[in-house]
Amino acid sequence: MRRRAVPKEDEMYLGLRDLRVARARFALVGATIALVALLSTVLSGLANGLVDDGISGLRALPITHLTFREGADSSFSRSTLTPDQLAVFESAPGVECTPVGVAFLNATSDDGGTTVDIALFGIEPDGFLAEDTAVDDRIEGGLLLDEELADEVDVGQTLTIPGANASMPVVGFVPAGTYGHVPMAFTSLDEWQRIQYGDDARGRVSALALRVDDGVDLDALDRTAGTETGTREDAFVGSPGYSAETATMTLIRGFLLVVSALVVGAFFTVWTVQRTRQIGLLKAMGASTAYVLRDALGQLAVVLLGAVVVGTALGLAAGALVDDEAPFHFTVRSVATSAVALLLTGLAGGLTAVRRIASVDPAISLAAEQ
Amino acid sequence: MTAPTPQPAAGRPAALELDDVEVAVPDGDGTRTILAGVALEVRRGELVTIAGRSGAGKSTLLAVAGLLRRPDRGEVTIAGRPTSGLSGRERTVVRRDHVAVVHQSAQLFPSLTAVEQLELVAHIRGRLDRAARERARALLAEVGLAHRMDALPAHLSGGERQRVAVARALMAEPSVLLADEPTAALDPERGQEILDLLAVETRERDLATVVVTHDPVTRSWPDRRLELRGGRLHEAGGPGDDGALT
Ligand SMILES: Nc1ncnc2c1ncn2[C@@H]1O[C@H](COP(=O)(O)OP(=O)(O)OP(=O)(O)O)[C@@H](O)[C@H]1O
Ligand SMILES: [Mg+2]
Repeated sequence: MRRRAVPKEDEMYLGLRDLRVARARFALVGATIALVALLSTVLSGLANGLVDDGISGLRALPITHLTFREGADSSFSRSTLTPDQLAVFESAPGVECTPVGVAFLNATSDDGGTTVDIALFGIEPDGFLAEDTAVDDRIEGGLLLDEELADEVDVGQTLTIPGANASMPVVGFVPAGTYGHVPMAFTSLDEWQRIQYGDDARGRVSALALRVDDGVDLDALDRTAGTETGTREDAFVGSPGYSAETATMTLIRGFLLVVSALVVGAFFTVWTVQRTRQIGLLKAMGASTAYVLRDALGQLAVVLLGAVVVGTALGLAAGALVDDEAPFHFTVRSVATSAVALLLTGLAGGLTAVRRIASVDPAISLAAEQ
Repeated sequence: MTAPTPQPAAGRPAALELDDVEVAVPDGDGTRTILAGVALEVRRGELVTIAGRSGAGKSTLLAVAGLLRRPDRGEVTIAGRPTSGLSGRERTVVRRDHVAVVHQSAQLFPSLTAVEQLELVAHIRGRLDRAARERARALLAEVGLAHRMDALPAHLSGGERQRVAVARALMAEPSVLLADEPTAALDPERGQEILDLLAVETRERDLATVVVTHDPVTRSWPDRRLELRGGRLHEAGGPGDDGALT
């Protein structure tokens, strides 16, 4: 155990043979842990997928910070900024700043056949957001859509925003990503303001996209401008549903870990109690407590490792199967994290069970059998 | 050759020595003395039987002699080494290196085949190599189980199980062999076979053997017959039958 992750014959003798002979019994607990691992894997893929769906577009923006109105909690919908506030940041040294307007809209094709939901980002065609992405000046008077929408609308089609009395041609597709579970779309800030405020925009925008040098006192700028600046990642929580989804996923995965710890703990407690006499016998034969513990932990590790590997593999397969219907996205890191967490909690549960090995009295091997 | 106060044969110090061993167990509000000053010396190559009514403390005596239980008073010396001052870990090592126990109901590990029961002994000592595997098979052949090497305990008869247990005890190459009613679960004939086996191995391997048994004694053994009565060992069935060994 100290030298290898997987115990070998020379370190575990009885434990391996118990596994072989009591196969059915260990298969049962192994299958339970494998199912938990399967669920954990699927959930980690789903959690990742949902997160991506919520903020992949935001994550792809070439910015370090976002500035919202004070109290907006990183929500574009709740935030409106004026040119005065923009000016505070524009004049600050070490800060690159460009305004953005964001609105969740649905747009209908002119033939009325297609309606799409979009997160419409209005940006300045000569600002760094346009310069450092695939977005270009086609957005003046036109719409650049996330490539996901290429299946539903064509370049050249005109999309109408009902209620805003605005229509724009689709000028192209870019790998923009999604925000708030809908595909992002870009247009010019002017166009966005017209859609949002008609003729009465007065320079209002939703937020400011920043690129900030180290050491800039953003708090001071926020105090002056009455704004709230956070990192791009801080802004993820403002994506509709983001907090609720991640909290739910974390809760479910936490529950799964607790369940697996309890299952493993309960199983190995019963197993250890049943083996009390054998453990006493081992000690009577001269085995140290460390030897017996190593044997039991090796056995536990084999069961856990086997179950988690099988369950995780099945989870990945299940995720691949339903990939088209649900927003699954597996990353090596999150799958590994969930598998390792499961191993550790299982080990913790098993440890509480095999701990009692230390207190088994070798003399019971001589006591009359019950 | 047996005397109330046995003198170790020349150049043959006792492999097992109990001196003034006392054990009391909790009983109701107070305690009850089970062993009240037990003294015993067993030399290598010597087989001693201990009889006594149920509850007399025979198993307790073996537990003390096998370092499975600390006496409340007295000294247990194994292979010349006094053990009362040893830590639990040190006692485990002495037990591992010098003592083997054969239990009443064989007490085999259900998931190990006959030969694996023996290999485990070597594994515990960190010496499960080719030689050890060969020795395990040779020992099983010696107790007449050459054809049952790979059988699990569930598929062995009571007598076969007990033979495996004896072979497993021998695998440890002990100097002290303790057997607690090794025949209790067997019919008289099978029981006698086990006792004979223990007697033969005691001679051949130069063991200091203590067997708790009620069975009638046959052939050339035991060297000494003792009875545990009133918390002390007495000579049984010979001259000086009621004399306590001190
Ligand atoms: N840990 C203990 N706690 C309380 N009483 C004990 C303990 N160990 C042994 N005893 C008591 O000590 C007495 C002797 O027990 P022991 O098992 O040594 O007897 P025995 O001679 O082997 O009997 P048997 O022939 O039935 O096996 C019994 O009355 C038993 O109940
Ligand atoms: Mg007994």
